[in-house]
Amino acid sequence: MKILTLTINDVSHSKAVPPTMTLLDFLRDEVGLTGTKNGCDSGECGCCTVMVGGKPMLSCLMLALDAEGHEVTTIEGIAKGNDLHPVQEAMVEKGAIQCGYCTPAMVINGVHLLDNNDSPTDDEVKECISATVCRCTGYNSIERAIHSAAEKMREKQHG
Amino acid sequence: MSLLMQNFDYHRPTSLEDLTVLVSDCRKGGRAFAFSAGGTDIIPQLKSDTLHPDCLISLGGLKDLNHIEKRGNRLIIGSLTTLHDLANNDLIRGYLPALAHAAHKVASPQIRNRATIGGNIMVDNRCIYINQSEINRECHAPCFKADGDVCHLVKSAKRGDDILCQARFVSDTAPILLLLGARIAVMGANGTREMALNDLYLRDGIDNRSLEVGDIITAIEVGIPENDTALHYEKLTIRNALDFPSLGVGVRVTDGAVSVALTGLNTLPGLFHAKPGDFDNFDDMIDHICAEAMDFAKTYNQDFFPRHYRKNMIPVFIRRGLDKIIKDKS
Ligand SMILES: Cc1cc2nc3c(=O)[nH]c(=O)nc-3n(C[C@H](O)[C@H](O)[C@H](O)COP(=O)(O)OP(=O)(O)OC[C@H]3O[C@@H](n4cnc5c(N)ncnc54)[C@H](O)[C@@H]3O)c2cc1C
Ligand code: SF4
Ligand code: FES
Ligand code: FES
Repeated sequence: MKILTLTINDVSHSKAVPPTMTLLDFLRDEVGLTGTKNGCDSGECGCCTVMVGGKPMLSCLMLALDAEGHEVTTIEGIAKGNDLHPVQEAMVEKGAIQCGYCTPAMVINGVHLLDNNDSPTDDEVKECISATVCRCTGYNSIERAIHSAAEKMREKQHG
Repeated sequence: MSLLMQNFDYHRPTSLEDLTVLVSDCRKGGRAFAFSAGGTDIIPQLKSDTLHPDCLISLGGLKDLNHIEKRGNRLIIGSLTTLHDLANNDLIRGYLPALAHAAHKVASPQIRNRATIGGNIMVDNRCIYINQSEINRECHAPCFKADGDVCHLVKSAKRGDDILCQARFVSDTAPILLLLGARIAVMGANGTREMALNDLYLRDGIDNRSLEVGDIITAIEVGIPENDTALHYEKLTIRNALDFPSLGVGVRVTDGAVSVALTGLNTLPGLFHAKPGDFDNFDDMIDHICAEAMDFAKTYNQDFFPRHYRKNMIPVFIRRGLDKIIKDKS
């Protein structure tokens, strides 16, 4: 066991963890942040995406101890209180959520894209969600949601 | 709860000196160890129990190995540079756009944010019989690569054969690096040495790298090609994201001479050269290099695409690469 101190969604957590524990299990089982999902546990489905040091990464392919020193943002850290992030709002409005299992990862990927690019092309949106599997929506509504969120964010910024 | 990994000790040295001490301690104690950089290749192996080190040494703390710099007409790429950084770096995009493109073709955006170039040239060879979960692998006897006594792909294989295992070489960045004549800096028990990237690769799917246990690659060095040179990488996959190359073809044209590098088609990468003086005309030269490349390919039915299809796509991809290069030039 080693003591891991990690800042997750601006809150610092210290826990003893075995070296074999993935960041995904740490988030879900130790910290109780179950928004991040386990779909395949092997890098294929994207469900476990969280931001580490500001970049989307697969928490199932990362040891918890390897995250030390980096800020982690999970889906629980995206809304500010009751105010949904524009990407979350747009996901609801565009019917981009069915069973919801992929949604946390889709939102994390979308937020990261729009933080770095306020007018993504169709191809950029497609690429951003290209490695996150959704078995329900057929992806079109998710793409529409990200474009719509981009519009909302541009409006907010430029008034 | 997720797939369980067998227990191991974990160390994350922050300097090459600390790393050297750790490695020598492990050696003295007779403890098996493995390195993890981005971990995107090795963590699945730990989960599927095809690898069980006593000690995992994370290279992630070696910040000095994460850099890209230009020295004269050469570019030095630290081995811990992520594939995302490589694909988006101004020096790489400016001088080696084909390398940026190849790095961008690996896996997925989330994986490229974590995976390193050192890990990519070291990525383990793959086979459908070994790259499965432990539960699936239990359905058949362990094969040679899992310390067993059969090969499910080549049933006649037996211990003592020249090549025991046919697991495929799959790195997406290796072909372009090989075409650029890349060299690697390696740090080991006896100090640092340099070698051609091409000498890293061996012919067996199990022992497929020439590094000594404990050696680490610290940097990759490539010459910036002259203006008479152009390169292109083309990859065959079912999906645009996530798939390893069913076949990957790098093409280099330098002042009329053509070189081709292959991935995904054999236990090691292939590299072929042809120059105009040796042939009656350009078409003959291309026919020759296509034939050589097809000869080299040892395709088994171990992929989504049937083996004959993969083999027959080699000349198609070589010509496609050439067309692309010629189109970009004109
Ligand atoms: C779903 C999925 C899809 C993938 N698709 C592709 C693909 O399309 N193309 C492709 O090429 N790869 C693919 N990969 C494999 C892998 O993600 C990449 O090859 C990646 O670049 C490996 O880098 P890493 O830093 O994560 O390696 P790690 O897992 O950290 O290491 C891989 C191996 O290299 C060794 N190693 C790492 N760094 C060094 C070093 N500096 N010196 C010596 N040894 C070192 C490690 O000990 C280990 O044996 C895929 C993986 C997954 C999970
Ligand atoms: S080719 Fe190698 S990995 Fe594949 S079944 Fe044979 S021994 Fe195992
Ligand atoms: S759970 Fe991590 S990619 Fe599927
Ligand atoms: S909404 Fe069900 S998996 Fe995407």
